[in-house]
Amino acid sequence: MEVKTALIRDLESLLGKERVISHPTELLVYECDGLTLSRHGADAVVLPESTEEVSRIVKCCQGHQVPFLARGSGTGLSGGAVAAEGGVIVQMSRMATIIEIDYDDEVAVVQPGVINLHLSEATRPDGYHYAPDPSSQKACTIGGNVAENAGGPHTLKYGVTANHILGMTVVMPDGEIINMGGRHESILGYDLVGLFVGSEGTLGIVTEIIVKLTRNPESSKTFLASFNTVEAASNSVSSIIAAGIIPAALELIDALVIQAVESHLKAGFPQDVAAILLIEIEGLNATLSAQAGEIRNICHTHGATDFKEAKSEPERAQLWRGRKEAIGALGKVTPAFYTNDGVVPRSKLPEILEFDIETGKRNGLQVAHLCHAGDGNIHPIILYDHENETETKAAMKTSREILQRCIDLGGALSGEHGIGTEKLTSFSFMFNKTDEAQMMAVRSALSPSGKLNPSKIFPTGAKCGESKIRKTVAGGGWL
Amino acid sequence: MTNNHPSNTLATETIKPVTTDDLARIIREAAEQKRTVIAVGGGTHLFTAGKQFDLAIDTTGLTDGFHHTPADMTATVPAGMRLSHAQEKLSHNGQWIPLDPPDRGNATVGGVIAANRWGPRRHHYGTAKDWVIATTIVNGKGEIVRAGANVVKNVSGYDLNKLYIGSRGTVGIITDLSFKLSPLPAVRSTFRACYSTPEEALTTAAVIRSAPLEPESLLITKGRWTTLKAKHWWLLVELAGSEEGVTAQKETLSTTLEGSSANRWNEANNKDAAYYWETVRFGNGEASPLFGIAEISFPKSQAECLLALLIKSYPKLSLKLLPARGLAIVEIEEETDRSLFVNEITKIGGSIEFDCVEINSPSHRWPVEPAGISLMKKLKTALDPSGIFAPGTYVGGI
Repeated sequence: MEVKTALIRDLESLLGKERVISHPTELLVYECDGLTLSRHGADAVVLPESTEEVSRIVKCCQGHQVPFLARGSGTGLSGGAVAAEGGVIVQMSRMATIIEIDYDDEVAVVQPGVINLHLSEATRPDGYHYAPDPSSQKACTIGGNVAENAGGPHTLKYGVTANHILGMTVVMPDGEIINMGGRHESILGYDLVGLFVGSEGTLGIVTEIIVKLTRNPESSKTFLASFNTVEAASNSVSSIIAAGIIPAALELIDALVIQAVESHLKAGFPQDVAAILLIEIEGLNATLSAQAGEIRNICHTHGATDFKEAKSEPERAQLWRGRKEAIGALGKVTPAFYTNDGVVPRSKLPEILEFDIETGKRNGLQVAHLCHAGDGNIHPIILYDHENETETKAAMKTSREILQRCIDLGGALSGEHGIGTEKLTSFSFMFNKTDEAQMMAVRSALSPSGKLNPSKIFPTGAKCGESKIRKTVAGGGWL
Repeated sequence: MTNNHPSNTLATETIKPVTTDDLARIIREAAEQKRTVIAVGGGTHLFTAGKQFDLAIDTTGLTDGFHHTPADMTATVPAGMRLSHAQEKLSHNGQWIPLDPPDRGNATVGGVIAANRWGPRRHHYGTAKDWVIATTIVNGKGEIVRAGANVVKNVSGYDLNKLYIGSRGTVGIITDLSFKLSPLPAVRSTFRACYSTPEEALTTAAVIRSAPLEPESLLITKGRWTTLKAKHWWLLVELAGSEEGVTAQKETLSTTLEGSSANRWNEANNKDAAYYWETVRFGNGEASPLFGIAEISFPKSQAECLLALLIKSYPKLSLKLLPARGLAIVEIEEETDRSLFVNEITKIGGSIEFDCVEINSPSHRWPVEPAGISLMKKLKTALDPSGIFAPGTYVGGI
């Protein structure tokens, strides 16, 4: 208690009392992120307003030998933005300024607390947007996106966050401020930006980001294809990719999700089908018609019962609202759900979807699907009752079995949510001890004290046992 | 021991392993004995800082394990395989790794990635950073380490692939790579327009970028990367894609070029197109031997400023420039004042790498150290604790 009091006193002297949260009631909201299953209490939350302040906070935490980590909007789904070993959360919400938009260089310079969608809203009228579009984009921050290498439906064509970051200012774990990359594409020496993006906030705290701006496409078309079986829908996805067509987005939504969406959002999804594909193509006017025809043929070959195009921008927006807010709608039809972020090679899509559903059945649970299918990022959603301990355990078991299967099929543990605290115990499915040691060598080199965001990603040395597993609440979040 | 391989003159011993396990054993022994190691693929872009090493690894024996899954649009390619060979195999199913570095057929896939090489089509496809999805390497302890997976989206552990791309064999030796692939375009078409001034070429490039066009390549060239007698600045545009897409784009592009200040422009026939791109990649055959080049990257908005600076100091400038990527390659002559050159590039916020015959120290090759060099040195030590991989050959003396 003595140490904690001194820490808070020092933080308050750095920032003033109004920017240090330490009352237990006020700290409750920071106990979890979008993964509500496990909760970890922080000792304090601080609200810096500049890179220099972040640096001083970091030095203060190191001086007190307490863990610390950065947090954006807390929309992450892997328990990455929680104080797994206690300590200080550096909350970036007061560093939320779009510092500069430069269309000549086609970049924007932003603080990490900028909400993803706000940047696209600011630039779209001028013919540009920020391409990574996670479904949480109305709420999530670009700093958080950098930490988790966030994706989104349109990353199929445009790539994930890593493909859109040119430079960063980072406060290192010892408080040193380092600039990496820049306003152009040069990679001189090792690609530090590439390494830091997706490192889940374990190598440094990003305080300024230079992002690429992408020109808006000349035109786009959005289609809804309906299928009587999930298998037919997933076979269509595999065939579209195999034909060398790269849509801007290719999303698979199954009946359970459709029902939830139509009950609560009325997006215009057909209700008497097993699955739909939401397909968007973008590019030159001259190329879209032929591409659309090819996609339509593939869907019909696989037994699509309907294939229709969104006729207007409001209709398109409504379909996308149905997709992006689907997870919220699902929360209204099940006491709780658990989301899985496994990825498979795209040709394995039919196989893994069948496996998911069977595994759910075997464990007595329903599994819904809201897949970034074109990426092979399957997002099975396991429905369960959080008041029922047996079901909660079955949900965890189902998720682990699905992840193991993804790895067996040549896939990966996470497409866009990260490992966080959530998948520590699954890490070894994909990586052996040598692979892990290589990553940990990188971490030790850049964060020797290990105080920055500990007990994340790597099972070795993680203190999972200290997590306060509480009765869970209905899960929120976006996919 | 291998014959006629570029590695033979670099070290007291050359070994050509044929499996990753062999390589790991060799590196373990080298680490124990603290013998320095240089990995050499095709030797097409090697920089040794004039050093001799204890051991050269000829990676061209690492050719097993090619695996292409067309339905996933991914492939795993052994590091010692020639890029040209890999592309040929992938083309059987209408796909390719969309990287086009200057290559007479010798460059290995591992070497291209270790040196992060690129060509004119970078305009559209970006770099290896956008296409490599998994790697196997042997690290400085002689351990075989895997990163990534054969999926196109992945945030499982650190993305060490990014660290290996462009690391020039200083943190590990790549033994295989997996790529996201691109469909081979059904049709390609090249246009050339000739301008009296670079400003005119840049203006037209900007118009093209704003038009409903998606060129595969868009670059401006001058001097040795045009024909010997050419007085003009060339703007080269390559369209690619489906038949109907390219046909529609040809019309738009023709209108754009016709409305520009081009002295002349044409859609190249196949023979001319091949000649233009050959010249862009390798220089025209009649030009004097190349002393060296500077590879410059800069904020895109500075292209005009950069050209003005360069022309002022070097009226006989030879250059190729990718305006949409903020990249230029400029000829360096023996008498070029490189420090003046560096000052000019630094003024516009650019970075620079010299590749000249006489350069044999990292500080001359990379005269301005990048921000974050201290972190890079820590990473080098972490992954190559005995310091055996090509020590003192990379930026900052890494």
